[in-house]
Amino acid sequence: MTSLRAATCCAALMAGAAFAQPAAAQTSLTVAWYGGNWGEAFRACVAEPFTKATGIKVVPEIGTSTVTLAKLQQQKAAPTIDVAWMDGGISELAQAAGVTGAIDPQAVPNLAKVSPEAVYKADGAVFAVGTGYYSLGLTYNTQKVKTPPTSWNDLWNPEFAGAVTIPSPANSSGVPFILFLNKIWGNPANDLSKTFAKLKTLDTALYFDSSGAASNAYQSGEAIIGAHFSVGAWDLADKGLPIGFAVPKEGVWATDARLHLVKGTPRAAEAARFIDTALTPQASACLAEKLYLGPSVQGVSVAPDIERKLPWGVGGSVRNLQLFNWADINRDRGAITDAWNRELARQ
Amino acid sequence: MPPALLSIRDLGKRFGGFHALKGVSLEVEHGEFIALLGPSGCGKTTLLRCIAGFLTPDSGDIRIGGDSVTRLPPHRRPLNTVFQNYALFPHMSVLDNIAYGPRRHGVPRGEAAERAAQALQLVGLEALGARYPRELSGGQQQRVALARAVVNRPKLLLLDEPLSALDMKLRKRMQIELKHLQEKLGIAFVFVTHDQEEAMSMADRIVVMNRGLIEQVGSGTAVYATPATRFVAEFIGEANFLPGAADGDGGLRLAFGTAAVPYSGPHPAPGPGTGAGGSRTGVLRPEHLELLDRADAPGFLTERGIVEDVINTGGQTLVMVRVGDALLASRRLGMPGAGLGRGTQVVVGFRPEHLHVVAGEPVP
Amino acid sequence: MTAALTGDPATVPAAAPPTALRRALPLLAAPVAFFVAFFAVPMVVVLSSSLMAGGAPSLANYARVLLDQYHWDVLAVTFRIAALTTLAVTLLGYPLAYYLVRVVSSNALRRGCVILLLLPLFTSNIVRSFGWMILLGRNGLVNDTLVGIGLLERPIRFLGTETGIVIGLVYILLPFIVLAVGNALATVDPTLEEASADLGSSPFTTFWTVTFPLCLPGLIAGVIMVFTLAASAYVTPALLSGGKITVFPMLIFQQYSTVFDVHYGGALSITLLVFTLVLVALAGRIGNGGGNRS
Repeated sequence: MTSLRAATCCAALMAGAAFAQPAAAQTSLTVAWYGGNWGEAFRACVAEPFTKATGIKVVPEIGTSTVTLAKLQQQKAAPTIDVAWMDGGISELAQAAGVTGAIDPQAVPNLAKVSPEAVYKADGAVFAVGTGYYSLGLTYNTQKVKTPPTSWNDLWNPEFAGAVTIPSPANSSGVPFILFLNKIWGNPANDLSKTFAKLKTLDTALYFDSSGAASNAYQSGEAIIGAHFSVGAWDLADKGLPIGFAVPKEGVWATDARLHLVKGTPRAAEAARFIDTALTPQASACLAEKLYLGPSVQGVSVAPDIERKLPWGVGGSVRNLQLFNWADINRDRGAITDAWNRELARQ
Repeated sequence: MPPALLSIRDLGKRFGGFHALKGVSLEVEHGEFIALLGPSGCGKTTLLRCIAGFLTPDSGDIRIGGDSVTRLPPHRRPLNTVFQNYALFPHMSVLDNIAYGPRRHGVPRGEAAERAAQALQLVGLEALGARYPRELSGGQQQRVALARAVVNRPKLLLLDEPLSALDMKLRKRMQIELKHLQEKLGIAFVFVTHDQEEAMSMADRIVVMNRGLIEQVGSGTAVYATPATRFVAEFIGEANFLPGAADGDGGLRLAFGTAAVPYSGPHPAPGPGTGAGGSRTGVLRPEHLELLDRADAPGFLTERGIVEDVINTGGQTLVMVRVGDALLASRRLGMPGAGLGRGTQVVVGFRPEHLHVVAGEPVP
Repeated sequence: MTAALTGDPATVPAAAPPTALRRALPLLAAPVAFFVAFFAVPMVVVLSSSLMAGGAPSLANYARVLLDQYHWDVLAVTFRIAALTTLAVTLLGYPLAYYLVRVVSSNALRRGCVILLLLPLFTSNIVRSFGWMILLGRNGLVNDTLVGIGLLERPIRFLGTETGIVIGLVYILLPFIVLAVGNALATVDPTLEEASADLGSSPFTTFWTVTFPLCLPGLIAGVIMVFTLAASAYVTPALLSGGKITVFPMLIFQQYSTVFDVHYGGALSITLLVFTLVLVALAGRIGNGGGNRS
């Protein structure tokens, strides 16, 4: 009696587990991307044209890069995510964690059109491809900051005391930003003490963890100048807020949103097709239009008003971006975070 | 003459649309045992809570020893209460529960404990002082509640159906103990109950309440023998009701079987209570309706009837007799006779002096 | 013997438990599975990773945490904020619970108040952080008002201070204490308070000798909940510190989400857990002592 009941119970559980799998595996593709306007843009520029062309439904799996990486690690044995967008930095970690599959140039013909900087290889195989660049530039309130800033050193202007914001190490740009400052100030690469000493003299309103927190700070007037992502800054400006974005003379640190083919996905062919769709000039131009991402696809042209909002500023190109080697950043991440905690994140 | 211990004047209390007290007046003397008796919703508990101070009356005045306490909060009133559910503090030991009152009146800790121990001895639980209320039986909790209420030696103790949660045997025993304690301490008790036997066996005076009004105040004997109203007659004990009407000469005629019995004894005059028809009702207790062996027994008014039912309740027998349209009850001591059964033709009769007349129609 | 013949269930206890247990097993399976999957397993994973360094079992991660004054400083800040939050929440929440349970007579009004109280828990962190900036920022409502009515000469700083974090945590955690105390208050028999008044206690004395001790278990449950939630809170301190104050959960989050050092992060997690449990145990002991005294 009892064993019969247990057997029924198990059968029910197994049936439940079976139902939990995507029912129509053949006709849908699960793609991990970010929330907010990013996700909307990926849907409009890539997912919808893809579905239109192939009839394959795209199921979004929304999360930040870090969360997506965590999911991929959990699903390593039987992935349900087929394609994943992850930012630079996390992308390298994903590769190291062995959750990314090789992108075959044969299956993704458009890979040939992508600038070489945006094709990421490990052991001779492509593990990620950039779909657009964004930068961390000087973002300021155009009403409170009369003369547009031209240098990162303008943040130390006493006028802005207590109203400056820069990323904390909890933000993906936090650690690279410190290395970037260290570099533009000409401090030795293996000694950040001078950079931290200078940062200590910066009178900030807050160190932001998330891009949203930074946007909120500008919007509420808590911050009037600081480092912010081009995407977030232009998003605020497009909403009619008095926000400007400048590429200072020292340049900007930048990174990109990359696509990955998940290792072991049973829908590798469809996934490759999806990535190919994302690398068309149309998709790249669409992302530039919607998110002001600097196109990674060569020869994409956009309207002048869009062009001035691209991460490299007016007249710039991908060559003007300071693209760091993420392997170096990730190597020093623990130490830099620790130093930040001790030097800056305490009273 | 010194003022009464408790004097209540014209007390009125409404709860929304419900008129719980409609002008109640009552005096209680030192050392008296008063029972507030009535059906549920009659206002007896409301009256008790007004006296204790848990409710503020809408109108009227309450005086204790001549001083008005109507506006005083409960903790300033010189009386104590035994609650229906005992309301023992679960987080205190039995001794601490009892010492709580003296402590609040500024008695030092040691002396309070001593008084508590004495009070505990009074109710015979001196061994249980260290226990917690949840470790006691219902009867023990009841005694602790009593000890806690009398430890301050109040002049007036209010008891809200204190025995209702006990089983019958224990209740009978507690009734006797409670009465002894009251006499020993000389404290006036105002005791709310819906159990008439309890009221009759314990109280010096019974206050019968109905629908927010006092119907009668009197000794147990008085409310039984001479009920002031039809309600009291019905509520206290059992009664046969003989419908009556004025006979035009200031006398009454009461229907008894086919006969209309003339009645000239004491009876209430026509008034608001008697209704438009000036109707009055004769009340005859079952023990006064006798089964007779002849129709012309001297001193009796008699009628013929047929037995409908014979109910034996141990020491007593109740014989239900159909007389005309009325079904009348006759109570006799002992077991029913062998010849008595359903359908037996009998003669029933009563002495006119046992008839008591109240205003109003008979109760259907 | 007679009872056994009549089959009185009370007389056959020997057979009852195994049957009952067997019947209860399917019912227990779900909660046990849930507990194992979502609590025990992650705990074991965190604990075991904290005991690994350089691929070998080691206490090095704990040495790194415990032998560094910096971590003790952060721990002190964390528990100071948690303690202040718990104190403030108790002082605000207790009277509020009392008001809701004992004073408000309309059920609809009471329900409305509880919903209002719970509302903060339903908003997203980003919305909330924006709200805090609007309220507590340099140009925020609080500063504008205080400066406007002349109480302050210049705006005071809330964001990026411990005060700001405490304000934010109080806002989030208030419902926990109100619900815990409210529940306890609702179960206190009102006739006990009447009995106390009847025996000569003023309402004030009644509160301290009867009502308060009787809902102390509820209060302690609430206090423990609030303290542990405040000590382990990440989002609110992260938002309101402006990155300028570090609490322990922020260190843990950094290790897991950006540095990806699960060994050091695990050691940090276990350290916070152990210290919190020790403090909670102490609080529970104090509470028990208080509850038994009359």
